[in-house]
Amino acid sequence: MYHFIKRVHPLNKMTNVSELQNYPFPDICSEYRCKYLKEDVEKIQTQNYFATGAVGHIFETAWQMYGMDTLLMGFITNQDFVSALLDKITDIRCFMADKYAKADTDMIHLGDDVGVDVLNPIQPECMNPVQLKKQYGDKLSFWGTIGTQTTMPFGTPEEVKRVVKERIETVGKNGGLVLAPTHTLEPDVPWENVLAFFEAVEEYGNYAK
Amino acid sequence: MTPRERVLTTLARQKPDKVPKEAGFSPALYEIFKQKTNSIEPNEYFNMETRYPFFKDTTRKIDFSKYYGQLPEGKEGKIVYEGEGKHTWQISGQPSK
Repeated sequence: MYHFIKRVHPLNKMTNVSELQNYPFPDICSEYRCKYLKEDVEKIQTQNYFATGAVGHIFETAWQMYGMDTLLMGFITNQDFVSALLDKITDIRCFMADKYAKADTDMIHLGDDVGVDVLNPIQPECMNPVQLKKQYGDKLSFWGTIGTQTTMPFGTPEEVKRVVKERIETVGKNGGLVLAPTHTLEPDVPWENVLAFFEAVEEYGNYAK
Repeated sequence: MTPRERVLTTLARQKPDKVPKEAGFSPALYEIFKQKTNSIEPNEYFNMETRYPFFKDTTRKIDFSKYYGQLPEGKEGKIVYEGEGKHTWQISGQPSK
């Protein structure tokens, strides 16, 4: 089954800030939930892996909780409510980012478009990865570039390999690219294409060759 | 070069030994992954460089039914909170999923 298809929006019927204040937001700021974070990060880094702190989203969480149409209309018709909602989510996200920073993660990943060091995911369906590299390659690194609306589900394994090779040769030229599909892979991606993705990175991704 | 150095070098816009890579699996594709590989850990199986430390799961059990009043038409049941992003619909007369 595909995910992201069925959504219910728990705040959908709310209009008053007081209702929002009674909602049981996650207790993620509780000590018992984050006290092992630093230990976990150390363990990952001791094993020589790269530790990413995933903060989640702000805008996306807001519409998922309130409904896309209700949120967008709320920006005009119920500003008190949507401000309170966005503030609340932002507070939680800032708390998480702070905890990740203090736990010495290697990177903090936020879903909203505030990226400064790394641009992710660079969907080739709407952005030109080669052009971005040319324009911003001296300021940004790139994470993604393999389309999950095109190449991964609909390409042949040969096509996946060809695109991986091309991205490495262009966007990955002289470094600065973490190669990845532009989103979570769904079951519409043939297993052979998953294998082709990793095989191609192995085959074409060696800078020493 | 270690996997961590490989990503750090990449994010510094310099050339590592190899291109680092990552792919995430949706729950359904993860099931296929497990069948095909007999592994339960895609990051390890495919030698991905990144790992994701996360906050521990919540210990709270909250019935969210009053907030999730939108069960499929004609269905009755309740929605149980099992941790961040994990709300299970328990629809009357059907096994939970």
